[in-house]
Amino acid sequence: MLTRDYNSSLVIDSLCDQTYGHNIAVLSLYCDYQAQKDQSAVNMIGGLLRQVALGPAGIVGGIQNAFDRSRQGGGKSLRLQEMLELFVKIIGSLERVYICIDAMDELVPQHRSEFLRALRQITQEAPNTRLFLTGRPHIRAELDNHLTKGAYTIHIVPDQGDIARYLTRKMDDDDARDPDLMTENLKNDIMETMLEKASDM
Amino acid sequence: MVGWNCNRKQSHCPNPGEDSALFFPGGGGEAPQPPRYTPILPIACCRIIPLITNMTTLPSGNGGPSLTHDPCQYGISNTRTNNNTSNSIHGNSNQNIGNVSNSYNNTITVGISEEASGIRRWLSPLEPHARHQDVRNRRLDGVGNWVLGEDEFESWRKSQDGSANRTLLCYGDQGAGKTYIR
Repeated sequence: MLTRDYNSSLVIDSLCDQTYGHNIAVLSLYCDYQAQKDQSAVNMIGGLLRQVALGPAGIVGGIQNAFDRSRQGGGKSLRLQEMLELFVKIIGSLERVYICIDAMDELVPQHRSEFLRALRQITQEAPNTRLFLTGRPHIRAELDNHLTKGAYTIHIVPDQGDIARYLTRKMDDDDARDPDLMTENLKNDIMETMLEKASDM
Repeated sequence: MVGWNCNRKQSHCPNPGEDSALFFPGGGGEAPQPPRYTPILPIACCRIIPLITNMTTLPSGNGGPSLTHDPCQYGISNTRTNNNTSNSIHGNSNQNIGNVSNSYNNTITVGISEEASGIRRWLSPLEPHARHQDVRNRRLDGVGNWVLGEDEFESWRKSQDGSANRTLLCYGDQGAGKTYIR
């Protein structure tokens, strides 16, 4: 997608910039309909936990202990609630934690509601968390219902400048393959048509 | 330097095989020195091999750059023997495994901490860092920047701990991306 996952990755990098040198973590998850079966709530929260598993002194104690206990007990995975407790405990020592989740609409609805409940639990139990979510408009009511009622919102619309930059790059790439294939006139036509279409959306 | 903008500040450069927080505390140079290893390189930026082969000497002692990631997890060591300094790095990347020697007889071992890797897999099969790297590599400069200038973004970023509203929702259609341009 031109705009949305770019926006997520941009926000993540921008947060990294702004928090440099502070006791702050920036965590990210990208949902993807092609990987839906792996994106259960427990794996998603596990994905967050992975990102805080390695602290300044190696594997964080709580995770190491849980892992050791699991190994003794036959290698069972943590349950969602155990993960949530661990996660909240670990991030408690940080000044702030940004959790950025892209494309909530690409989760299976059943997984999504469980995951939203888990996120709500995290935000309730860890006041130092900030959540950044992206999704298509059709799931907005569902998100509001579970989690985002009254949240700050930004409507992502295709920006003409963004589209022009993207198109230019794509056409330049084509040029690189065969310089004679695309004339300047054709390029201008494509640009004009695309921007016109985009402005109708 | 190739790959992931290694000249940027370290905190922006999550190691593509790495799984830590994109920025994890300790990056301010205050991370306690691990008992067995001495940090020698800003390898949070990854692409270790080109980074190292371009170096003439590797700093030793505690004077190396601060790391946003724990040196322990990469298993970095730096030992001086007679006139040679031997450096080894056991990275935890899934992709960068191998040995590199440069002209100063510095042998770099980029491996993986078996246990740390096992623990991460045990926690979740998802690898969010890889997707983030993929998207940020494709991202064009300037695209989407307007979002960062929105008041809502700034208000969210500066919201107080425990305030009722600490969530930012960005919603939008597929837009001009896949539907019209691909």
